Amino acid sequence: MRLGVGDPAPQLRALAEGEREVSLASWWVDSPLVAIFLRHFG
Amino acid sequence: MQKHAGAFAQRGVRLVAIGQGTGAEATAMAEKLSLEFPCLGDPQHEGYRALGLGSSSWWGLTAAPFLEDPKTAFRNLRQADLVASASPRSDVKQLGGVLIVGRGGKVAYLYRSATTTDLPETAELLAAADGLVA
Repeated sequence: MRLGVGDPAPQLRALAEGEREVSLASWWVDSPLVAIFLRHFG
Repeated sequence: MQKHAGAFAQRGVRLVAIGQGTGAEATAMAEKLSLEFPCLGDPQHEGYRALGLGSSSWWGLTAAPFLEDPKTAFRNLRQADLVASASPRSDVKQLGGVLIVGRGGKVAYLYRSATTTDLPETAELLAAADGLVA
């Protein structure tokens, strides 16, 4: 099933400085979150 | 997006960029570009898969941008950091996208880029954000 508007957001994890794992779910508790997925770091 | 970071902050909306590399690579890019919002790494591309973000064809990656809009394509090539783009964790065919999640944890907006240069207008993202904080 493809993710769509109105669906629960997936449990997204990513790496911060020091390769510390961050759960983005904690970022949208207090405020909406805009996550931009880049093609590359260049 | 950097120049619009303040507009999102004024609305009480958090902004984050996620790339296909390590945390160190994400941090290096954020420092290099003096980003005012966090940048994180997704070296296993888990987020890209979870969102169903697409993959470009080789044609779309190489020739098509120069045939469709040569001026923009050459400018993008000139500005690109080819060393950073060549990270071993980076799939050059990977397309990007934008996810907006409301406070309740539900997807409020999802944009999947159709081509390498396809991104939503900032005004569209701000409008979606306005709907969540109104």
